[in-house]
Amino acid sequence: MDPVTLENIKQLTIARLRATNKDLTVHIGDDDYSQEDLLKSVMEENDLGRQVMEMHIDFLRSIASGELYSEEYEQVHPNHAT
Amino acid sequence: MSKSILITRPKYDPATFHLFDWSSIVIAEAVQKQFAIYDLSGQKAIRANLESYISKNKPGILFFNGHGNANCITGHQGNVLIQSKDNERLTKDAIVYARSCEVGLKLGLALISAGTKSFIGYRAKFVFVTSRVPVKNSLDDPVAKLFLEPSNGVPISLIKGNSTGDAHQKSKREMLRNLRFMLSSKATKDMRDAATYLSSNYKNQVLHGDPNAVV
Repeated sequence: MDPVTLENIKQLTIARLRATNKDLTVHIGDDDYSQEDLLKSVMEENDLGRQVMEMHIDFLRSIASGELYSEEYEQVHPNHAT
Repeated sequence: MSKSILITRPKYDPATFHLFDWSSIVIAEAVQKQFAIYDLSGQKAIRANLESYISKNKPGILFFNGHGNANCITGHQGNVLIQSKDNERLTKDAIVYARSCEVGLKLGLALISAGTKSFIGYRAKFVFVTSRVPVKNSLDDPVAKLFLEPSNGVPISLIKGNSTGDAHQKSKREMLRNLRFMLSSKATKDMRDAATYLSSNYKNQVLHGDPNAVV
């Protein structure tokens, strides 16, 4: 990931996490995280933090592109069947 | 293929506690449809039991709950149940749904190569969000429901006689419906905040093998 882009994504993710309800627990893999845990990981840019950044930017791209609202989304993204 | 389902549902950490509770809905559906049910719950979710039950009963559906990675699915306390290049042939001729992290990356493909009819799982971490607001059990958590009901949709659809392709698509459509709801003004703030993570499951749920396989 380009360093400038990574910094932008990091700041965006931090802003989103700070606005998130503190009373949620996010279960990712083997562990359970509070919003503060996720925020710390993103700030440290550790493995979990990078995964969280990727989830947030992918989600925002889906919203921005309108693909989540597209009636044809299932056909455009044919469920990754092999 | 026999009308039977084997479920692994360990219960030893917060995530598996939730998956354990939500799997009970699948079991109720299987009871209603008169399936033979092999429930490896809690401490019973270990490899020796899994191998014994599969070899004796050859269940048509294998529904795994628990942790995992690109190469394995685990049970009670991280006990490895299925591992690449080890016991891949164990699931031969069955339909597999694994509610586990990253198993759709490599393990699912390896199982298909070893004779599993069809495999549904996740290419990335399986993620779900729960409220910290006290609830009687996980089934009463309105945020968890948005994640775990669509994933339950896979085995429930299979039990109802649908193909793996249909079960996979139905589950994804349900996730998409929930995502749209979570982004709407009807959703609570908790639900809106959780949408990011459901989107990840939606994009990473994969089907390998025969999409026409049925039980």
